[in-house]
Amino acid sequence: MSAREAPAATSAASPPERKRTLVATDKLTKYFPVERGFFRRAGKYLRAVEDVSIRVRRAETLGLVGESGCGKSTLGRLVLRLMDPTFGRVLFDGKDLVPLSQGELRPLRRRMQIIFQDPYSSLNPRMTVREVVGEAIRVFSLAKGKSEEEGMIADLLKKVGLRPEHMSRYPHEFSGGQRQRIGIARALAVKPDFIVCDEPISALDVSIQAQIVNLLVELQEQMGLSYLFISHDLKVVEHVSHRVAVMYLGRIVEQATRESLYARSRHPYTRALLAAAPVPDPEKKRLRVLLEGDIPSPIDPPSGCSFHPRCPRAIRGTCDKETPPLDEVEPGHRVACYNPHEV
Amino acid sequence: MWYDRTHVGTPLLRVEELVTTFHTDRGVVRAVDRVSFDLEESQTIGIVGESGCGKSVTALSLMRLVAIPPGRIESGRVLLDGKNLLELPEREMRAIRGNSISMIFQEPMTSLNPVYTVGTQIVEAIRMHQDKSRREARVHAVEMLRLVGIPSPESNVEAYPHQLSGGMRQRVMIAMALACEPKVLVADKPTTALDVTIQAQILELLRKLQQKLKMAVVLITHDLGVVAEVAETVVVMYAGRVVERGSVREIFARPRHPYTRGLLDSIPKPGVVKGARRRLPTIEGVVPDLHALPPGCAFAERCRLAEDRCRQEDPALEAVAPPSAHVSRCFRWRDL
Repeated sequence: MSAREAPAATSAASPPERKRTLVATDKLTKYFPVERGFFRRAGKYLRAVEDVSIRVRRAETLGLVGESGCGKSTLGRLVLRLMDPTFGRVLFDGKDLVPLSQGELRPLRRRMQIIFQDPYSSLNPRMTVREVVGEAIRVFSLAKGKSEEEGMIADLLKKVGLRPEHMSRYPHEFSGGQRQRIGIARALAVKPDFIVCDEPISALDVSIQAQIVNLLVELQEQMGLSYLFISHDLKVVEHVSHRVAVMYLGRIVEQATRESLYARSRHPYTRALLAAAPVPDPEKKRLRVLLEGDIPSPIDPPSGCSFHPRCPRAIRGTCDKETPPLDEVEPGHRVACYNPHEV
Repeated sequence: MWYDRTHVGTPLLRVEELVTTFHTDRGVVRAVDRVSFDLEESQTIGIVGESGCGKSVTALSLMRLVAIPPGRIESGRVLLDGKNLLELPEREMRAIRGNSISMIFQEPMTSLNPVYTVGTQIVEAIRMHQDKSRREARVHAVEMLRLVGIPSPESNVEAYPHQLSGGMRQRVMIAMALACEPKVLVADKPTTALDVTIQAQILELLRKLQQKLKMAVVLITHDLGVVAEVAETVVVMYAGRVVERGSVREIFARPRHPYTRGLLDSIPKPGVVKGARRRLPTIEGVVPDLHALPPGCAFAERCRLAEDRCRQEDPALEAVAPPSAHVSRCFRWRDL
């Protein structure tokens, strides 16, 4: 094993540029009040994101994996401050975004962008591609005059694998994969440093998914982009990420480099997620870790470790009492579990 | 029950040269173009392909649930136990649908009626086909909910669909579809709306119920991983046509159509990325417009192996490994 690890260690320590943190969260927490009753008093809270500290380095992808309702999209929006957190800090290039006013945020907004899941609903159907992509350029006055703007749009379209002639067309004239390319061109228009990719390929067909994944990876390598790549699909995340965080019911339960996570996952939930994904190999008889039950409600999360009711390794009297801390089990590999798997 | 096959020698379900068209403003498209396959009891056939390839329309055609107009089943036969479903009067078809052949859909929220309890809906399905009193049907409904793993079925039979999670709603759909012990279950992307851990539960449930009821399953999916796990036979569709068909083992080990090959290659495999990240193999280009199909092979413009002949002539399905039933619609399958 150590022989195989050696080259990975050197590649992780590659250019110093990549080591610097661009985006970090510090104990980030978001509760949504659940309104009920005649006076709409907030009786309870939905704990969407709880005590999350993550870090995205320059030119690096942090994969964020979890099932629906685990809070991964909320986290993505908090990081961009499209939403205000209940507690915690969001540091972008060293600056805390949380206390900033909208006016103060504006220059930073140019540097962070988002790509959405559904390429059908995230583009305005009444705007041509030129208008969709050009809008951001105009908002930030990035072009001097019409012709420079046209040139920039044409370059962006070429960069994402579309043709400049596509400029005067409307979104409905494109397939799902092409629309996602338009969404990427729009995000790139302002020359961002950081992009939140929120399930960017889950609405696409298999053969198109691979095209978009490759495009995102190529653009990152060309432009030194940092991604927070949100997905429910561990296989895709493995292909795009340098580091991976696994989320369950609002909390990060495991966080590691890609290689460490896929080769030596410790958290029973990560193991279950890995085992649950169907493998396209009919000869492979796998040991299935079938998780019983559903994901509990984040309004009334279970006591202690919120995974304990479904966990095959839960220890009674421990796991149901206190939330396990996210502890480092080897350099760069953290696990929130009282009874993690051994490797 | 299961063994009173009237036509000895024919399979439980035989689909022969099925053609379904849609009549649109831009002309007539063949959404399903001469699709054929056989299915035996207790077996699962996976129909795979990308959106618009005709796999869901194939499923709806088997059930005779294609909206007419704009759709139309033009020709072909769907033989269930030797009886051609496409020739039956609607009245007779209604007696078979939900009884000997049943269907579950992708999105359980939109296929369950939100204003009735799940119990009422299952009871309705049972009473449509079986001579049971309301009370007997209700007992049966609770039994079905227990069978599909709904916790405390006696109380959940009173639940409305919105009170259940996505996975639980899909279980209700399955309970309803299986209430009359169908011989064939058509499952149209039954797990795509679900999370992976829930998907694993539902697939496991379907497998268990299939064994118990000796049911044949037609599984429509775009996920080759799911096919590898549950099906014995696979049909790969592209632009309305079958491009490859054969046993799952043969096709996954030796795909004989470049499209199947491309689909298999473009799936990220878990736990394989060592060292630097790698490009995923892709199929370049997009699915052709059914309104303007090229004259030759519909896949030619995306195919790395395509030559002049592929763009002019339409390849037929050809046996690639006789005596096995593995067939491919490709002139150049030997070069794969």
